[in-house]
Amino acid sequence: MSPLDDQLRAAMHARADVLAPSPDPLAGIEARARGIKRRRAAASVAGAALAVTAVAFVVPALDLGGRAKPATFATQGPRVSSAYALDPAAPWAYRGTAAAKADLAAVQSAWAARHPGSTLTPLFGQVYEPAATAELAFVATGGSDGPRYGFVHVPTAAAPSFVYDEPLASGTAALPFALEGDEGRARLVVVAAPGVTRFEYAAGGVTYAPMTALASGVAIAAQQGTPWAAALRVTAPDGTVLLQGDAPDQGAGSQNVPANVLTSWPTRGTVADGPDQKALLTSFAKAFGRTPDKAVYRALYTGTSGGVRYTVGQAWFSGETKAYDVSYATGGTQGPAFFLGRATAGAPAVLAFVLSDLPGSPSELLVVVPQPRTGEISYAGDATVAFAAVPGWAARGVALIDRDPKARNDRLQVLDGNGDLSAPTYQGPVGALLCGYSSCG
Amino acid sequence: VDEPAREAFRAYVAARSAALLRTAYLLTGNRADAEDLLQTALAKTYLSWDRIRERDALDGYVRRIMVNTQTSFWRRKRPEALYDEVPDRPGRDQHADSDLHDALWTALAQLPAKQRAAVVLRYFEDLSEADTAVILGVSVGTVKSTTSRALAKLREDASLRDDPRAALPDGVLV
Repeated sequence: MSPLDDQLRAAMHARADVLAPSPDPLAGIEARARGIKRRRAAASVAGAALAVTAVAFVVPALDLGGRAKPATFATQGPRVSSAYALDPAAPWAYRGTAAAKADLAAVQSAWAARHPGSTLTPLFGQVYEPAATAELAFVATGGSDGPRYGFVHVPTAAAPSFVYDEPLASGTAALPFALEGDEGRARLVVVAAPGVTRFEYAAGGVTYAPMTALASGVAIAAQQGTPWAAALRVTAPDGTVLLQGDAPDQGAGSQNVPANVLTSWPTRGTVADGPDQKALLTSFAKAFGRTPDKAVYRALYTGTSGGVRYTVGQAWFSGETKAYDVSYATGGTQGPAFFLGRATAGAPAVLAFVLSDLPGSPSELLVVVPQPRTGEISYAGDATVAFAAVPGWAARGVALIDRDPKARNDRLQVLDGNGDLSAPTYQGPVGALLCGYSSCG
Repeated sequence: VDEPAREAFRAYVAARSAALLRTAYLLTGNRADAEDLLQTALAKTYLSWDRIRERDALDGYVRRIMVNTQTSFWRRKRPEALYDEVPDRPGRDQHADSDLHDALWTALAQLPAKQRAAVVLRYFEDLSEADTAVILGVSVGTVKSTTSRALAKLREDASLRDDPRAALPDGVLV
């Protein structure tokens, strides 16, 4: 506490504590409620098209966290109590193929090793063709860890890989999973009770579109747009909203990625704007003299500049322990450009990348990806000039800076988003952030 | 709203309206606007009563409506119209610090709506940064920086600048 804190608190209490409440305010409240209801009804009748527009504007304004995302009351699991809730003691009926359950004994065994005394029940299963791998969504009960749910890949020649292993909240009525998809594009699989048919996905977080049914009560969508902005809604046949909230991002629930993968960092930008990620994975694998079949990429930012399509992020080999900073660009005058950086530091404040082959531009593009929830990003072209805020960083989530290719003493400042304005998250030379596989500078 | 729900709502209003009126008063700066704001927030709550399942979180729900509604009021009014409004004073401050409290109260009225709301929620309601963030609809980091800037602005106020009792908390950059 400080003197100002104390005095402020005392001043407010001195003013407010002596207020006497109004006698019997209920009548006035009910009258006001009727007025609000009438106005809402009138607005509703005035035109459905207008109402849709209003939702698009009003809902983001109620956002939690400042991102353009709908306000919701549930994200990982809905907090509803309904006939559609998943009871681990009497789980939903299994949907999917028998082949997916072929190795159930091995899955049970691996699960029991993770959670002694716990038994899982498959809810949905399929053989995912692009990877030729069986996969199962399940719920588990028993043991000391309480009810859990998860998702497991069951390769034919390897141990089961639990990509989701989460506690099951009471009243959960839909299980969303973000999973690796084809060509580096994540897919979103949602499992709900049999009979639930209305699954919707909003790539930008505002406009919902129906997902594709896989089975009764199971749906899929390819992630698109900006995964961190995407939203999900599941509605029961009786109109009860079973789940509405942030769509999970790929990697967020993964149990099998290297420890230095920045799973808490959102994927920013627009994946569709970027280059082919299969080519990126091929380049990454080739840099290590390997084939790309086990290479995995997670974008941190994807965008375009001057006709150059680029993506920056992390790549690794499935089952291994290190992820590397990488970038990849196409559309430059010299053809596709792959950059392999160092193994990502454990908890970096920022990652920075330079794109130098921008047709028609005398500048390089410095792409600065900060850790989540940082404050203002500023840049100084050399050691003598003052920092100037980078325009557009807040809306974009990353800073895009036109950089003189000859710059050697330019500096970057990333303020702490925790309000301590005197302690920047990063303040120092840009060169120190530009590290290749073997050296920085 | 059926009769049992109406009765539950009536009980909630009876139990909590005095406390919520105090918050509304600090958000608006005068009793008439405070009563109007609280009535609006409770009316919206009444309409949503059947859909609110977490009754333990009702105060937060009502506070959030009040903050959002007050911000809307603020947006609709020209700032100078609100600044011209001298807050009424419902009771006499008995503390020896009453001059300072008067100056703080006046300075509080000059803050932008969100900064004022952050100060009220943090220092009057004693809510955590996380709870304040939920009500304001922003991140915890934004709560911290908003509160920090509000305190810095209060300290910059001419009537408080030279008062040692209004010293800034450690770590706040003015």
